[in-house]
Amino acid sequence: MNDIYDDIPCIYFSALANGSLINVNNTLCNYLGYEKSELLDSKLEKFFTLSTRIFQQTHLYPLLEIQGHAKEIYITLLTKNGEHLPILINAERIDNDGDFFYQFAGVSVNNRKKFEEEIIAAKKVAEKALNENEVLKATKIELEKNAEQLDYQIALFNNQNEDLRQFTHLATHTLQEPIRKLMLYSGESSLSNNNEIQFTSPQKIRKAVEELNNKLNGLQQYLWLTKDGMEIEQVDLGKLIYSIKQEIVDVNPGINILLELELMPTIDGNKEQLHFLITELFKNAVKFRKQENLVEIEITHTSLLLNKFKQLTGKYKYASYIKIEFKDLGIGIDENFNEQVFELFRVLKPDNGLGIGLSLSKKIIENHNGSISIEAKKGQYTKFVIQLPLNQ
Amino acid sequence: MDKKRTIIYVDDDVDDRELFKEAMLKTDGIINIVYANNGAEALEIMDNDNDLTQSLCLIVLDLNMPFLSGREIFNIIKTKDTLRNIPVAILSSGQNPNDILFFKEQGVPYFTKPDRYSEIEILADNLFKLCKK
Repeated sequence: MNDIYDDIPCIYFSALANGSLINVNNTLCNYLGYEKSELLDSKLEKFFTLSTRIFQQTHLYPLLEIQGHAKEIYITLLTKNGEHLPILINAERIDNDGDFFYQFAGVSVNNRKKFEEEIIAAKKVAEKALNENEVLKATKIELEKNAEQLDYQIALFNNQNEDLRQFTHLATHTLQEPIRKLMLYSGESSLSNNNEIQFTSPQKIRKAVEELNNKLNGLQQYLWLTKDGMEIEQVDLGKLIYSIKQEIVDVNPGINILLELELMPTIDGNKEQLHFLITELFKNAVKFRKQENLVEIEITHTSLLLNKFKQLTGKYKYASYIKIEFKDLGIGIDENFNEQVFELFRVLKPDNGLGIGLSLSKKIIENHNGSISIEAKKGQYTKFVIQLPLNQ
Repeated sequence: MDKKRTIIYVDDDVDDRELFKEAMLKTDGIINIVYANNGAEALEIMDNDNDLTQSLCLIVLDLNMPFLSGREIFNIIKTKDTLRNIPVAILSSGQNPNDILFFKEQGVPYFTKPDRYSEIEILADNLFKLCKK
């Protein structure tokens, strides 16, 4: 055999169909640790591992019979020491005037096999990481859901706390006033100028009892106005506002209401509660009007995205909201005391109602997961800013 | 001549103002009573009417009122040079121990709104005495 083939950096061997080796090159002998002479008298099987032999009989030879060649076949050779040597070979069936023999040439793929193993190992790691990532993702979704639930619960808790606070104030203050007056009026009065026993007029007692009754009714309304069992439907705000305006005009004859209203959207909400809310805003505008016969109201709105998380900080999930600005050009109120208008039974002007409408309005807004605030300038205007989610 | 014969009574309850007036009329001295519905109104009066402020012998505050609570008004009064030396008395229906303690520490008399006519007279006497001090 030519010297060039003997020492080129790839293995070469040829064999007859029965497996008897015809030729081997030095490179193969070096790889396997045999002398050339040891191999030339032998058969292929001498350096084929068992699995390679099976492969040879079941795949390689049939392939060569049919196609005449086979490429990039991966086999394992057995060295003299019994070690396994991975090889990638090309094989050809040579027709030598009717005598067939096979030629094999190949390269050792020891390193490549290592790389492959590493790739497989890396792939396994990646798959594992992917799986874990999916678990993480599921956990994250779960956590987010829980956070939303938690936020909702905190809001509910805060609302209930607020109810309790209002109730406590009511029990310790608001109800005490009429009760004290009743005690006073129902006792004998010694304040007359002569020494006769005098009693307070029944009208005064009646007035105190009415006050007590009104406040208890107000409290009942406030406490009943909860979220539980609140029916949600599509509410056309524009239509609702126009019908309320008409109701207000009907009960306030002689007063003109000049209403500037933008085209309003339809939102999710409880119709009765929203009706009550807007009615209160109208009543408020009428009560605190600047001119005897005229109430000027402007209602505008904008859409915006707001964080659904109201209680938890650092948590964000944006949803569509509508911001409604209800502005009346009335007498306004002192800006320092704006927020007091939402307190239960807070009457900012004496003899001016029960002080319950706006606290109920605030509760309605909270039932709808929204917010209400007031901006006002004394002598100029009062503006209620309401934010409500489009979808409940 | 002792000119200090005016009491300013700050309370949003109309009935109580009437009672207060009735009671003070029973006292012997001639006392001038000025009413304010709330703290903001009271401060406006006292800031703008110098003669009145000069003649004040007592400021009587209810505690539970809109805009400013009696305690807030008290704190504001104590920051004003023209007002800080005028005696203050609290007249409230509230029994909040925090408030009672606060005013006790400040040395401010704390009266509970009466639920008997006989108490009104005693109250009026007490307020009158504070005014004469």
